[in-house]
Amino acid sequence: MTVSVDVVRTPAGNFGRLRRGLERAGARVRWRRTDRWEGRPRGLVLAGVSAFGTAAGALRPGTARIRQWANEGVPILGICAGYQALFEASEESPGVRGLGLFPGRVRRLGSPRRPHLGWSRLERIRRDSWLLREVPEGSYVYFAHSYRAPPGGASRAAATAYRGERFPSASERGPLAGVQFHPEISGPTGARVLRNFVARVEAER
Amino acid sequence: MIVIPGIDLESGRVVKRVRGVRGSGATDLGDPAPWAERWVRAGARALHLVDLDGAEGSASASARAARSLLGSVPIPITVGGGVRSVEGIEGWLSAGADRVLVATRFWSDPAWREEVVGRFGGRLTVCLDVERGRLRLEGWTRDGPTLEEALDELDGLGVRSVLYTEVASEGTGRGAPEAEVARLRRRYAGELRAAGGIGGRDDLRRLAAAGADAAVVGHALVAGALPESVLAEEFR
Repeated sequence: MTVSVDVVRTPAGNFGRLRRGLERAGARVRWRRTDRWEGRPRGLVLAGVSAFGTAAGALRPGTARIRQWANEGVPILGICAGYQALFEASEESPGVRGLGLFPGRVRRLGSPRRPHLGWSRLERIRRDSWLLREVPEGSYVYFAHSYRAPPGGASRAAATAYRGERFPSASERGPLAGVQFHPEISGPTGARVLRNFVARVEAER
Repeated sequence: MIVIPGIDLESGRVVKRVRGVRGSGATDLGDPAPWAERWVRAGARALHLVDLDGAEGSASASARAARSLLGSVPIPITVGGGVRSVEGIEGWLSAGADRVLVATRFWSDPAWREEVVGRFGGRLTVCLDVERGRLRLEGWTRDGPTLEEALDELDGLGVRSVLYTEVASEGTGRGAPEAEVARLRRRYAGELRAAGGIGGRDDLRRLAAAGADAAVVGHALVAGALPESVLAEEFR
């Protein structure tokens, strides 16, 4: 029995591997536009490869609904810029409001060697994380970003360091989750994360 | 240092040429997808794809095969071969490539060099395909600047990643270019990938000691001189 997952994507970018990754994890993928919802999704992925403003802008017509679904317990996974869009705002796009489902403002990486492109470790993985279940401490995942989430407090599920700067690389609050890395190109570890998400969607039915 | 498996595509099929000469070496190793799948299962952390048809200036079945891999393989992919325009770079990036290789036009056109570094920065890997101290361009058919001249250029540009290939030993497995890589390491602080002549584990250890961040291996993997388990290893 496959469960359907709705994916909201930004206009730019290629999401072939995200689709394949979710399908391999057991989901049926439906691409969604935020201005034309058809009913409440079982699970929602916010995919983004571009800037915060673009990602948040692509979500805007659906902002109120996405917030409502998050409160109703629909599992949501934000990826990269889609993760950043879950926060309140970003230095990258002043004046653009995020979903505000996680607190704080996304900021630019401190190192002048931006973007952070490459494999880095997941550290301080929260033991009770459902998204990172069976992901061993120190696992490598793939990053491509110039901005970072604010210190996570209670919602931080894992952290990663780039050139001495530590930032949350995964956040979680109930069935709401987000990752700064790209699970769809993070090999077996990324596949595990996508399977965990799809499993959560199945469990919430 | 990690090991990146390299796939060379000709007419959409995997080939392994010797010193880049068309028709040399292994001329048909089959569909690239099963190779990519095996290497992902073995723990590969990236894939390196070269469209040899593109490198020689013809439109290709290889480009289609590469796009298919970009839509399915769950690890970062570097793509190159004949990329000589801004649209060419954008095309690969929007097809899902994580890095794009540039060589010929990059080293022949200073204005373009600055433009693409400014626009695509970290998404480019600049090829240094070297034979007897000189860069080889246009599918390794023409001489470019000397390696020294190229390094002088790199210093000021802000290029984040380079790939050093020893043209004379490519596809031979006769030994890695560790002395050249060590010299390059002293001159260049960014990501340094190396290829050409890698034939065994000792070569990988020597390249790691010389300061390479990644070794791109084709011949030794498809010929079985290196086990696929090296793809999950970290060499120091």
